[in-house]
Amino acid sequence: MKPSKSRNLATAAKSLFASVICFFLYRGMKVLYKLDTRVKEEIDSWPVGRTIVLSASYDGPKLCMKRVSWGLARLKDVSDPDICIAFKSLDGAFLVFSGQIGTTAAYAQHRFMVKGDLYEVMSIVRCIDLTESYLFPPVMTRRILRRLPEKQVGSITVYCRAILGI
Amino acid sequence: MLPKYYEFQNSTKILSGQKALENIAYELEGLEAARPMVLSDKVLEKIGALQKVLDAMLSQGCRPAAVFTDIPADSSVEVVNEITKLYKQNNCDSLVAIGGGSVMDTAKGTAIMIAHDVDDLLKLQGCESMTRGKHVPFITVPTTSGTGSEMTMVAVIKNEKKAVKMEFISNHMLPDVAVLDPRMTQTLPPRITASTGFDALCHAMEAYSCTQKNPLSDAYATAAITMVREYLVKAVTNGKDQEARLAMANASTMAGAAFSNSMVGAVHGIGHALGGVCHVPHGDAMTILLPHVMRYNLGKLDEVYGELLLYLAGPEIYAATAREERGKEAIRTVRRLQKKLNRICGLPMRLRDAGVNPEDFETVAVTALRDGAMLANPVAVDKEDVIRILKKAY
Repeated sequence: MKPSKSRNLATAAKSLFASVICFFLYRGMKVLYKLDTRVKEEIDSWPVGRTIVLSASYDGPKLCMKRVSWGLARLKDVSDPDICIAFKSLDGAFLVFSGQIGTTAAYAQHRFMVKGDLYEVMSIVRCIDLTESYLFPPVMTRRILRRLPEKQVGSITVYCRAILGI
Repeated sequence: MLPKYYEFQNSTKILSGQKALENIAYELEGLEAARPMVLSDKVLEKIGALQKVLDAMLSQGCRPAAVFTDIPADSSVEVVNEITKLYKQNNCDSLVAIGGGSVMDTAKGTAIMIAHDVDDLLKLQGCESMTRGKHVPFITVPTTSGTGSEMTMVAVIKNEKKAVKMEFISNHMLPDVAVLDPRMTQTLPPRITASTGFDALCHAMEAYSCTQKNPLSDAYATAAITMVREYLVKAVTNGKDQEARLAMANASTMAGAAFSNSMVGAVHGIGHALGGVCHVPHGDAMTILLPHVMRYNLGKLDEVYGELLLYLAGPEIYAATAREERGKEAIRTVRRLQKKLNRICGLPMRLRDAGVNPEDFETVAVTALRDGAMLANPVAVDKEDVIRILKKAY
């Protein structure tokens, strides 16, 4: 038995969207490591060599990262990451990636599972929240974040540098 | 209000009341277990609480295959590994944990190691990432009325080598049976009864106000608060009052079921850090912090705290209090209970009474922010906020 065509189409669209968000999330964090002291402080607290995977679903798009001495590096894949944050379904991930709910609400709604040290995950979550505050428009962040962090640099600068990868 | 989405699980069977211990043998048989391993600690062994359970089991023809009582106040990976080894050596087929939070968390750690046949507990660290594994029949007998661990899907186990506490969250860790027998808490001194009772109150209050709250956890939380209101002072002033003891055991269990499904917030996040950094007993930290964190959250939770006044203070006071005053009155009610218990048994009211050094506030704040409970607090909390709360509580 197979899912309906409309469902397949929606899954493909959500999967593509999740890949785009993973790209901007990584690039955003990488840029903010240089431009936002709070993001730098959080990432600096992760041990060098730490591998982190953020997965949109069991076999969906994922963001694999490694803490390196100069910040963060994206990896193609990590078979046994130190930390894995995996959404239980692509639809659950879509709620977060499309800004309908924040990480706090996603946690409250059991949308994701975590493998690894939960204390370290808190720092990763704070980092994602800070990055979202730059990448998402204020109308969205006001709804999904418990408190709007003060921006240390303009969102346009972050977007430009994220797209250009500088 | 109904959340857009929530999950709730509590599959633990409760045996509550007179001669409950005597039914452990029957429950084990029902779980197809014949060689239980009994876990407890030295204090309970010394005061005879362990013997009461063993007597109840043996008199019903249930002989433990092994008994381990060397569990420290802070459960650790090394102890869990040692117990797991003994479990296998003695060909055990089930666990009976008799004790407080540490014994029960140790038992949960052992249960998941056996269920997944792993040699390193670290491999199972995480939140909702565990599969069920092999079923290990698991019975708990709480000996304090506060942690609620017999009803929670959480275990905190210390990694001595790395000097960190590891958190495990999985619904597969829920015990099969929790046995609440008033005989088990009868000898608890008033000061510990008060401190652990306040912990139960705190679990229920935070469960009702945190981000994962849902109609089912609310029902457990409010029932727990009502019981604490009715029976905590009675249990503290007269430890032999069996009704009060059993009611507090029930309150703790219900609060455990509530917060296991709705999480706890900043009171616990900061309290855990105070325990880790300044060695403040958990219940004492909860007692001191609860009104201060309620004040911090009041702007967002005024209405929620107002609803809780009904359970905290009773219908007469609730009805006599103006709607806009109910939230603040709930805080005052908690404060009054705190003062009453301070007069009766010396329960600390301020961090200075608990021997906390203000120089540690910075470290406490940084540690608190690493706690998962902070994520469930409805109001965002940063380092400066934690320090402000600590200063007020000092």
